[in-house]
Amino acid sequence: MNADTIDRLRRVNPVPQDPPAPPIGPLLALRERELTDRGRGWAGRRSARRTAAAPSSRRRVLALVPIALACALLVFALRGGGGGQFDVAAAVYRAITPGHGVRYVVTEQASEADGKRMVLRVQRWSISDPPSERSVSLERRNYGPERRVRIESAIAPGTTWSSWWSGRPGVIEHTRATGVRMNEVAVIRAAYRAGHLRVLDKVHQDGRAVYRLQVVPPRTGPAARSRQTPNVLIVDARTFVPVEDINYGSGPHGRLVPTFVLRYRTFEELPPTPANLALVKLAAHPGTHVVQRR
Amino acid sequence: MTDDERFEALYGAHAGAVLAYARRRTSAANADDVMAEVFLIAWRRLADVPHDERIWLLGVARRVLANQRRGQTRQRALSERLAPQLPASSPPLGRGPRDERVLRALAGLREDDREALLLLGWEELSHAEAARVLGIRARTFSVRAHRARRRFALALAAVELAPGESADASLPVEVL
Repeated sequence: MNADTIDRLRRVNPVPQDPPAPPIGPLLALRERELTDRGRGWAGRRSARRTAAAPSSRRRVLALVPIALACALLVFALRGGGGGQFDVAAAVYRAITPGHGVRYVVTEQASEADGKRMVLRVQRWSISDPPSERSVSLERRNYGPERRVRIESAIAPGTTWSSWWSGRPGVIEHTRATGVRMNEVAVIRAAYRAGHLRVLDKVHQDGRAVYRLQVVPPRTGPAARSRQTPNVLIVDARTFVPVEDINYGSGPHGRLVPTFVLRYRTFEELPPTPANLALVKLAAHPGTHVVQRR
Repeated sequence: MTDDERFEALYGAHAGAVLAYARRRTSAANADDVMAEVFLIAWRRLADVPHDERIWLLGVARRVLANQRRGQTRQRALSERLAPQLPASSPPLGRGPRDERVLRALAGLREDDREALLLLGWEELSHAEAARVLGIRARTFSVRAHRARRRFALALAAVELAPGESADASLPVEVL
């Protein structure tokens, strides 16, 4: 290949320098988890070998076959029919990892106190490359006037993100801040990488099968939270997308009590058409007053 | 050196290169996952990792990405990604119209042609190293690279001759 061609290719290299290696901690956690799982698998195989090689007779072995079949069917059913190696946490991780389309998520969060009920409904459109999102929030109350808040943001590469916030008609306030923005889905993904997304059980809820998983927020990194109280994530057993995220706090006598429930009404990936990609962008309409804020 | 020490040394020496390889070919978010999967495979097969560790790891990364593409029906084509946006993590480049044309020409190539050129131009590998990443003989790679270069030159000429939007229409866009 001639040098000119190489030079032209190098000029368009989107990552001209190797980025610094991310911390190895999350990877070691994943590896430890795999080692643990592998250890369980080996133990199972050793146990099976002992059974098969037992000096008692072939009849005793044959007598165990129905029990083994029943156990296998039970495991199959508990794991959603995915086979012996099926990993529900990994399936959840895959289901919530952003693709190349436009992620569209609608969540609702309800709270009630002293007869006053408020529901916050948030629609969010996001893409992962370049990371950006736009959200529209609507607050509904059974008291006072309805409040509509529109929050739109465009996250810049790395650790800087800028946001546009609009709470009043015709006004867009532009703020710029530094920091890594992590939404609740990113926290779940970080917990999985750290080996802290654990399947609790499979139950039926509202007429459908769901898995309940425990999510422990990471202690370090962008997804770290000041409180380490685990959430309970409920996912659809067929699609593995989130259905509910139950947050807990400290209640009386040190007991954990649910503080709020985030309900996922929609969780889907829209194809990356120009019309869908435009959903993550905020455009100031003619006549809009833009206010710059620090 | 224990396995743990060797693994951490392997990660320290090559994680950046593997991450860069992945970010050049997929979204920034997915690149992190690809890198994690590559090193988990490396951990499982630590005894098999040869002396030219970087080349072996890039070969694993290529297969991880290929497996992902096979499994994802909604994967947007690299050819679509190349032109409109750079990965989020990349520093801004002063791309002019000439660079855009190079990207368009690359996007129009077949995947194996494009990968051969990118291994040479972006990963800056020798023919022998690129051949090992692809799991083919060096001589086979040299023939492939020669043909890829010729097709790239033709595609580039087509893009440069067809200004504006017509350039898009003149080139087939391959869905990976």
